[in-house]
Amino acid sequence: MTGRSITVEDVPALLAGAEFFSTSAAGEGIEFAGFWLEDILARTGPVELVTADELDPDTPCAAVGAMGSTVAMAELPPSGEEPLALARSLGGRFGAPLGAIMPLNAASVNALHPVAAAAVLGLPLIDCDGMGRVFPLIHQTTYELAGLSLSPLAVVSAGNDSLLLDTGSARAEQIARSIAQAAGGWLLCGMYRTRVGLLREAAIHGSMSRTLEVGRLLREHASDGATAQALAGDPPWPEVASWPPHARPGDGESSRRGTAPHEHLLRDLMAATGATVLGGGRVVELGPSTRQAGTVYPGNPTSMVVHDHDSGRLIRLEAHNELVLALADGALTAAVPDLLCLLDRGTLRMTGPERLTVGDQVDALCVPAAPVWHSVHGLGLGGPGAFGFPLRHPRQEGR
Amino acid sequence: MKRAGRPSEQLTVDELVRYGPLGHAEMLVGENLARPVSRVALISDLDQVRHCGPGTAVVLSRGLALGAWAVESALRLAWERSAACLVSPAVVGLDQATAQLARRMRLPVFVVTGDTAACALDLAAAIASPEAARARLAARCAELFAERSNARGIVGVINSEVPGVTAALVAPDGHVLAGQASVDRAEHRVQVDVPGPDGRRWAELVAATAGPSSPTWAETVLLILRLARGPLAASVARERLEAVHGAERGRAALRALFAPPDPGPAAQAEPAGRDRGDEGRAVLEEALGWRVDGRHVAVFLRSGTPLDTAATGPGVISAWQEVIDDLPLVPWETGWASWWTGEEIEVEQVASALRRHLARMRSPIPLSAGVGRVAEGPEGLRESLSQAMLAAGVTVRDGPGTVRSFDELGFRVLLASLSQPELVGSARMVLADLLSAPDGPVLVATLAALLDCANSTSQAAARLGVHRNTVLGRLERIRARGVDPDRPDQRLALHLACYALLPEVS
Amino acid sequence: MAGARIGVRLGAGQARAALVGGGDIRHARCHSGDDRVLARMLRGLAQGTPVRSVTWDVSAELDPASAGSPVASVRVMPRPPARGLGSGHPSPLLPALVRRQADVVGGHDLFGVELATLDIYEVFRTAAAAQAEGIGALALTATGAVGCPHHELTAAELVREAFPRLRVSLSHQVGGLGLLDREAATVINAALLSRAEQVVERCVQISGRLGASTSAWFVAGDGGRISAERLRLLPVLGLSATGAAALTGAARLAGVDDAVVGLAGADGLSVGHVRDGLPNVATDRPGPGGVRMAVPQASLTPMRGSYAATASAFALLAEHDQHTAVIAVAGADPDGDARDQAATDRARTAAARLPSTSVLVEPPAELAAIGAAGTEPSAWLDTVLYAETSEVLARKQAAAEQRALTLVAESGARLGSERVVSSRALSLSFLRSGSYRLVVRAGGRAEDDA
Repeated sequence: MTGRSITVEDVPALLAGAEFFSTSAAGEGIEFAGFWLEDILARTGPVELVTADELDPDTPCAAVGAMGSTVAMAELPPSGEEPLALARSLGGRFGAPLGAIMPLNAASVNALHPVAAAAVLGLPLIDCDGMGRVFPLIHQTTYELAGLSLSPLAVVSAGNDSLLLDTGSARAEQIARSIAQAAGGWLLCGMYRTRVGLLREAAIHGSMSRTLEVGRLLREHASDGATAQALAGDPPWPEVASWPPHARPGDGESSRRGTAPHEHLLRDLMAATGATVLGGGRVVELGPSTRQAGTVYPGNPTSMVVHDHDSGRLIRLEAHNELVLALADGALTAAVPDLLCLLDRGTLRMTGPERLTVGDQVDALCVPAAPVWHSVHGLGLGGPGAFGFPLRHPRQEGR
Repeated sequence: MKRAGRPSEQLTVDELVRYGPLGHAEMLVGENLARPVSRVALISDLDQVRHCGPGTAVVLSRGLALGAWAVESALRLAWERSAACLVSPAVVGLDQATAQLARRMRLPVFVVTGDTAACALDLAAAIASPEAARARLAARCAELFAERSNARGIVGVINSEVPGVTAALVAPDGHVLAGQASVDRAEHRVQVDVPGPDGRRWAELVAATAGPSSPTWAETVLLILRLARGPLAASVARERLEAVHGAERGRAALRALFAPPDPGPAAQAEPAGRDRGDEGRAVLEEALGWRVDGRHVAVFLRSGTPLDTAATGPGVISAWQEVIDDLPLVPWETGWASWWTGEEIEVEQVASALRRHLARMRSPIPLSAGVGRVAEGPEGLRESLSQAMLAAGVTVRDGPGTVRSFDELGFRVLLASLSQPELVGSARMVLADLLSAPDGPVLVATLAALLDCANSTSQAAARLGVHRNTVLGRLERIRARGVDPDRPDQRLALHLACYALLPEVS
Repeated sequence: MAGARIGVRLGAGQARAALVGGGDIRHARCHSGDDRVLARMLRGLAQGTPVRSVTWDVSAELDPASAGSPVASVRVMPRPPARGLGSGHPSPLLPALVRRQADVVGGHDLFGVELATLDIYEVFRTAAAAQAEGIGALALTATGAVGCPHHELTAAELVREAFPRLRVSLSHQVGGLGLLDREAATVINAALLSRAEQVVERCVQISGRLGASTSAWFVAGDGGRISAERLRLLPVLGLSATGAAALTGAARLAGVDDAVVGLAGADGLSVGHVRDGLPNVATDRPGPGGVRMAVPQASLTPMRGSYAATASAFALLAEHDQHTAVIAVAGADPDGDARDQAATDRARTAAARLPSTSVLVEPPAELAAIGAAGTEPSAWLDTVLYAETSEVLARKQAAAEQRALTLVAESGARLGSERVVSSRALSLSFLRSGSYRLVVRAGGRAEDDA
């Protein structure tokens, strides 16, 4: 993918893809970041997207990503100066400036932050990431699995509180988490300072491209489908008089006859991501969300149940920040580190328990995680056990 | 582990609920409770469920109170292993979806608020020695038997408390006195005799089990039946005693009701007071719950043979009450009186109901009955009762179980009432020749029947239950003795004479 | 017909009115330019019947692109954007409205902790410059104001004291969570203040000519109705009200409280949901000029295509919905009193695809005007709270619900008719466990309800 770049025009697709890989729960309300990134790219110009192979293996690089709440970030948006503080901290510590940026994870709002950082710093962005999805903890990465050191961890808040933490990965996580809570609800982090040559084994390659690709797919369907709406930026009734230029009146019929628009989208998503559909139908239960004491994980665990329209099975989805488990009639059918996503049939957008009400129609998808996550160590760091669920991952059943 | 016995040796989930440790647990899903429980497994790791054998009671430890998902996971695994039931600690979010899943899997689910480990221990103890658990069941039944005062209540205890068992109290003739009628047709049953107050066999207490019972379980059921026997016998005696006592009070009250108002000084002394009729009415209505006002049809029951009503009374009354417990039966003169009351009541309706009841009644003596006319109020009741008594005087000749109404019999009731001593004397003389025949009484009865039937030999034969030729033969012999039933001037006298003699010859 | 209600939709130089009362619906139409003509039309509609209320849908009159006046916008944040990076708005509408933009240090976090002291001098300087440039209104948006409005209130007090002619809009009164969206809403609100003043004044006056007992109300974008005072202060609430009113009207005419509603227009079908008599709302809908405003608006999903295409798409939606399906003709002939023929054909095609339990509404007057007449008070809250235990959560949630009910009562609800329509506490991801976003919606019956 030599010579690729991310431009203002790519941002809506990036946003849609970021929502998809956010495993439903974490994708809420990140549209603001789209506007924010568009404004930055409009001022700085496009960001160069490169593969690790294209760079000098000795190039110093670091992962950039935010930790904390997207709701807090929407209320207290970044000033745009945060990456500079990170680069200063990390560069000062190693005596050499960063030569490239890699995403912590190419999902949710963290698919956008590295792009903004690369734009602000004028550096290339490496087409890879360390999660392939959203994980709640910053050390749940393939970088960590490969033995890269998370710390020193550079953090900066929207109030420009800046800190360089020298400690172990799990400690860094815990300390940064409490700083985030105190400093406005989120932090931008720079970590896993390394050299590009080491990323060959440590990163999930092509993540940014994949996010963009899935995002384009979602946007095409959202604007083509019969229920095209918010993503296309169309104002609601009664100002709907004008046809969007790409819509061809009446031609939707032949392709839609007999099947719902969501089925087409599902088919395309399965082809693009290797996803399987766990089932789909009405949400019959949204569990109470109760605070859990004594856990390293932020957020509250919650639970929801979907009644699968075709098989009559009850699909229970356990969420803790993101969707963690899926059980069909009590049998574990999918679990972290694989991605679980919910598609809202009405809007053809990704959705999550926080945005749903009982009676809504959804489809549950499972996207397999990068192979390294299915190793013994991978499942130890990002499997059901790491989330406090004493279960074996479905892939372990045979072992 | 305890060596697996025959499945039916084991306690069922239902038993564990009824008198075992699951009695205090909240039953989230109560499907398929008849499954036997072979062992208990306290699960602290979901994987352990995979090692449970069929029939296991799977108890989740507190450590697994992680959410509805964990319970559903365990549910699924337990179902795959054919577990008997699942016991879960109280979990936030355990809801309708979980219950729905369990119902579809037909797996009972219980929620325990306290420590599930303690529940598992109790379950293990119960399952290890079903005998101990069953002894507790027997003890509990015995306790409940003592609290019930009638047969219905006592049999009910067995039906509600002993899992998988239905019981009934069955009379020797197969009539179900209390409990579930289906028991009689059940394939697997246990039974004990229940003595009446006289010490002789009065009924049988029968229990049906759902399947072939193990020896120990059959023993437990038998033990419970035996425990029920004493209270049942006592209750029967008590019921009879009460019935007789009630009947005696009823007779006194009825007599008072029918008595003409005292014209003497007593009435003057109590001008505004209640006379005896009022007193009787009060006893009947308030104490015995019988109705005196309204539209009545009285009935009268009697036997063909003169008997001591005091001796046979209790048997007749309790037999009546087994069949109809909401209508009075009062010893009255040579038989027993009762009456139907109601706005719409009709004679025919009463007669057919009574016919039905008489057929079912297990009376110690054969009974026939007469039905009076429809009448209003206490005064009318007395009249209706008199009519019923007259009618019964006729039906008693027609054999046990016969029920006819006063209206239906017409003037024949008059003839039937003519058994005065003088008349009997005259009749003996008039029919002396006939009576002196070797089959004299038979000839008198045949003659009466012929006269009743206007000399139709076929009708008389039907009435007597013999062939027409027999009647023709007897008629020949009657004529041979100088009695001609065809002579109009003799018919009435002959008819009267026959009726006068009938009570003696029948 | 004792105590009728009138709904009026103003738009495109026309006023379309409907009188609803005693099971009867009448309609009238006139040019909206002349107050006397308008008043005469309303009197003619009433025909002597006492009119309890006139509810106006003025959303077309409040188009910020044409009716907005320039404003100064002050954003209060702990650290102003460097080099202006990421502070721009994608819609050309906002830059067109904002004559002067200033960033001021200050603000609170989500839980009300002060992030930086408010720079009151910068507030003062911005206000002075704005006044000097002839700007009439100031939009104040502080980060965290939804949880703690202290900085917005302090700044507003300062501005009002020093520059009494400058009108101020405060973001915490306007919208919910999300600084950029709320800022956009606050700017649009400030820009519409003077126009709203005129429109409200006019509508109140015309309504008053029907009699002293006739009250004037305005349809809000969430399908509720608000008082003249509230619309004067918060004109942004009156935007996009037509769709909301039409949804309400369709459900009313169909005689159901819960429905999935298809509003048939000449060009397409818009789908929305009505629950408990109120339209479903969302805060992430694009508003005027595609600007998202963190203000609740009725959720309407437009579907386009041939009659058959929209009919089959709606049939599919209805099949998966547990509530009654309602198809309503929403378009009116632009020049006449008749229903729009194309909209009617589209509605009938859609109705033909639906099961017999569904309802086809062919309104005897403009649907939005009928809906406007039937609007009831409602209120909406969006806030963040922290609760250690579920008991504390329940207590805090109950307090918030009480606040929403009070707002409903203030919007003219009959005492005792206030009710909570929905109340959801959503766990906030990636924040301290126990953090919740609380969204409460409440409604009530209007005082003038017969």
